[in-house]
Amino acid sequence: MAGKIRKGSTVVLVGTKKGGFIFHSQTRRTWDLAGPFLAGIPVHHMILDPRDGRTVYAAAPSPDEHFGPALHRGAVGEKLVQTKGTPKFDPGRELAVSRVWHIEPGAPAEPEAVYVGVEPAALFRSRDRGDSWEGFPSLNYHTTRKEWQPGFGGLCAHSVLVDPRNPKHLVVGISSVGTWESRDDGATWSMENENVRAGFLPNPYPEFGQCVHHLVWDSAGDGSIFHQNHCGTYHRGPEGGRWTEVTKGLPSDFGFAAAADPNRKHAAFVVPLIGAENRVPPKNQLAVWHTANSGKTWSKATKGLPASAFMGVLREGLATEAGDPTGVYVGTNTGQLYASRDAGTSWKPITVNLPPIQSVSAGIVA
Amino acid sequence: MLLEAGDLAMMVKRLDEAFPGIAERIVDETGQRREFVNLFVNDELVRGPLGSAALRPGDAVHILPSVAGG
Repeated sequence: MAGKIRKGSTVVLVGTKKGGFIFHSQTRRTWDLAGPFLAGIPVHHMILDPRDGRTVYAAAPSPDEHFGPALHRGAVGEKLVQTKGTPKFDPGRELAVSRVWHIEPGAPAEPEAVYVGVEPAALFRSRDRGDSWEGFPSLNYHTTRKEWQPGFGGLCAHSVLVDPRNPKHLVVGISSVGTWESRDDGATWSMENENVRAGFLPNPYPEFGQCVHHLVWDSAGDGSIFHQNHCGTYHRGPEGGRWTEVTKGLPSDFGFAAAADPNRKHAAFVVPLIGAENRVPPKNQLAVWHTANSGKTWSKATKGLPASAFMGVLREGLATEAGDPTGVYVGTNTGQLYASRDAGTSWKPITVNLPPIQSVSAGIVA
Repeated sequence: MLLEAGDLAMMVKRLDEAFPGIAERIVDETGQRREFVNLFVNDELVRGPLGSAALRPGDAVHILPSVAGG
């Protein structure tokens, strides 16, 4: 099951509906497969912890989807073992965690910390690599919670950002609710949805109710954020506050995936889809779009990506790693995984025979 | 295995004492049976709350996952 993965290898971790797969390479030209891990089980997210370059975390039910959510942990390329505890709501809340959607390592200053975003929407943190968990009551039981409405993908907290400069600065994205931010380690939270459209509501600029699809830090490292929404693409500067819509130049205002270029500030990749009513690439050409200026302008890359493409790319379906040049990876919900080793300019398939891909992440083994 | 319990909720608790961690695979943190885990008492599927499903001496309980997925 497990393949030997050498130090210095680039790894692409793929969560699919039927298990997790790790592709590894010393050159990024040819790839070897390790796995599947958690074979047959839906893996919603799988990551390599960048703080040690060795630990893999996977969010997957255990032992299968019937028996509830779990987190799994192991050394890269080796068996993943379920952690001792799972995140839970407090007794009496009449809420039960049904899925873990996103795993986020803590800041470098807190090497044992791991955060998860779950369904129904909530944020939890472990201070012991997933063996025990604590929630964030002021977010998870916010006074507005009774007004939170699930989107098509459910009521899920799917984006979690931990500020590497300051672990007390947290940002969370919740579908059909919006973006939340805390600067006091989760004690208090503010809604951060100014100038984000909710075109499906009578008031298109409500205080909350925006359908955020994905949030990623801008590699500027100053707190700037890229934001792919159900209704547009956005960027927010280091000062926070109002979002700037940067959809102009993209072929649609709809998509799920977003990834920042770790080697270049204000640079990011997105995969626009036609729209909520038809979640496939515009003109049926799979394309990854790139900005190098916080979204002011965009360029399209299709070289090596399929035409006659009628698939989608899900929220976690796009990833980058900090090789030189930047490696970019995109996985489709029809099981195709493409790699670019020239910062998104051209693409080659790693494999086209996986189960539907739910997540892609990448890193370099230490 | 043999357990002493007056209802299914108590039975799950007793089971978890014997096999720590198994309860959260059968019920969620609100005590609700997970959607695709079925409990049968003497071959009868229990559809209501586990705490309302009384057990009598000699009852046989089966815990089975649904035939579901794809």
